[in-house]
Amino acid sequence: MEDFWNGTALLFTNPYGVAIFAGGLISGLVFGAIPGLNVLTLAAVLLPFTAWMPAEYAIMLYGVIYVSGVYGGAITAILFNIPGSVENAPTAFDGYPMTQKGQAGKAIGYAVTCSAIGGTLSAILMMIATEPIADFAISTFGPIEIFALIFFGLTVVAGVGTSWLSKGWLSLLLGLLIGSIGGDPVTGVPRFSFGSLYLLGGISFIPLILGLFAVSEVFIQGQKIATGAYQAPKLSVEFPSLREFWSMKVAVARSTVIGWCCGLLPGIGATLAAFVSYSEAVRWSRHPERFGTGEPEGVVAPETANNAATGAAMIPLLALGLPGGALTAMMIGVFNVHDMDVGPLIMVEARDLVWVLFASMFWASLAILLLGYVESKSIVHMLRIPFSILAPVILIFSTIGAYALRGNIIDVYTMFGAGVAGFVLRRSAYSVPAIVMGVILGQLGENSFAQAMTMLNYSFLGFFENWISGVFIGVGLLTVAWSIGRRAIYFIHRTQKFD
Amino acid sequence: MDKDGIPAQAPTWKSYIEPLAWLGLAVVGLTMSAEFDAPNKIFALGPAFWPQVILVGMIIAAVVLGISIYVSGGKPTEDSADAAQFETSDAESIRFSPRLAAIFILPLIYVYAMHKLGFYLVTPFFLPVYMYMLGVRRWKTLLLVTVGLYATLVLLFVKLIFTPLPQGAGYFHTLNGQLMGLIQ
Repeated sequence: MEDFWNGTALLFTNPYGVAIFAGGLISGLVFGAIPGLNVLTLAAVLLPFTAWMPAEYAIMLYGVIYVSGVYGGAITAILFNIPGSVENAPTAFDGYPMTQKGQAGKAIGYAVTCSAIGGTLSAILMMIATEPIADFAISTFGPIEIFALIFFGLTVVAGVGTSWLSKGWLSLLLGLLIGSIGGDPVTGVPRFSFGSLYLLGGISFIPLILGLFAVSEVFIQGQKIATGAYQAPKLSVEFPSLREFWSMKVAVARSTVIGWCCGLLPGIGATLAAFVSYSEAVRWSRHPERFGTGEPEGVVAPETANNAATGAAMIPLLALGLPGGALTAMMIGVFNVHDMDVGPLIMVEARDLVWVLFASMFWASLAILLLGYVESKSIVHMLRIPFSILAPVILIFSTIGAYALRGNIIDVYTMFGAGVAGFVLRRSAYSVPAIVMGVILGQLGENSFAQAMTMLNYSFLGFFENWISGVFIGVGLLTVAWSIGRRAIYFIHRTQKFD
Repeated sequence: MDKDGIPAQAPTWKSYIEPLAWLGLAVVGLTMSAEFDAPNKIFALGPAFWPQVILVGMIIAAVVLGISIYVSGGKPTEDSADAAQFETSDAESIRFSPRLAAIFILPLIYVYAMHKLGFYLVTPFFLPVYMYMLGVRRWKTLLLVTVGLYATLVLLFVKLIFTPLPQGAGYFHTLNGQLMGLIQ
């Protein structure tokens, strides 16, 4: 506790520290929210300037923008169906339908509160258990367990956002197929690349997500405007009541645990956390069919989990020097700029600095709650802007977001292609969330699968020799059998009625 | 479909276009995937294994979709009113109009023109034209939004964070470069 208060004092006893904290918080929210302006851009731009900052403020700045950036992406996902970053994509699955139902205030309220809860709990856990958990996680979770976890997550995806089970599966399989385009992750053999260098590198997530969500939405609403069927979403700044929050307690607890555990895994943290948490919310819900239509738990689960992953991602970073993603890798750069190496000795050699980071992430998570409420009351009013004005703005920001990623115009064409495909598929009752989850989890899953099979000497039964992977695969298979069985019974029942 | 979920009419041949399209995609994919496999020592299952599993799954799902359509008459397999809200109704057929075509085609023209002429030259024209197509008719609104948004974009992406944006080809590449130089 003393370390925590020392870290807090270092942050807030100097106006310079307070200014950097506030600046990092606001810029993280803004950069996280606007496509093309993700927190990685901000972190990269700021990296050279950290050399002139005292080490504690430099590290604190990165902790704060990491936390606030993850939340920031939820705002545009909810209001305009444009996820600020990949880990906010599942938030759009239900957040945007809530906006269309006139519940934007509620959706943002859930996102703000759950981001704050997830981030705060995660920061507390990070402070308590960095060293022992890092050892356990790194030694226990290998490719076998990661593949089993991803398989487990994928098994419920097919039911999200469509009332046709077969169309849900086809959407998921299409996503997995898109994810397999490009060089094979093990041997590099080109697959479905048609001799194109662009396709050889695989289809990038960001243009695909922007196309399937933002561009297809512009086309759908544009079509409604052209045919006179458009109805503006009802504006509401009504926040969820305490009772409504309380009803989410199990979802929040489950998502915090999932987010925390996924956050520990280097390289896939917050994205996997958000997607798996969403899948689990569907699996455990009494009304899984409501997901994808504006179910509040569909906002609560990913937002709690992706913020819970932020604190957990610090554990392998600090204890073992393993970054969980690009931003945490930049944090290593900040430490290096100040002549320090992350790794097991960091807790001894730079204890004060580590506690400044812990304290800054804790206070940033709480500040999101305050700032989020104040900001959300005003940001919901953006919905007053007519869609006819918003549409070109959305298209231009999406274009910049797709292009700025790699400076490749083909990414922009890909985005518009995905937009047209998204329009057609959504009209035909296919599930866009399932496609996106298939692409993202498929790419992560194939890597882990290849490594796992090599480790298991190509024995599929090997997954059941390890209790963690055995449970994940077993429950995943049961879930598939259950959903198919339920639909089969329904079919038989209907056919008998028809006869 | 009546209240009990009983199909009101038999599906037509058009109802089966979707599962047939999926089957076609899967068969073409499987044929292509046969070329991926080259024996290798690193991963014995080979690079074709993963996509082939997906494509076989797609064939099964497409067959199930065909059976579902046959049994249910082209209606969802569960009478979920909630899920149906998310889906854009098939019954809402698209009536072609020049305006609707423009809403779809203009963004594609914008991207092509941006590629050839550069972001900074094309965007101020795309913004008002697209807003006009979507029903904004007041010229003051068109002008103010265009100028305000363009200025914001330039300030943010050129002056503040130096984001590289398409500069066009040939002469236009030089022109956009000069324009950016002036702004900076």
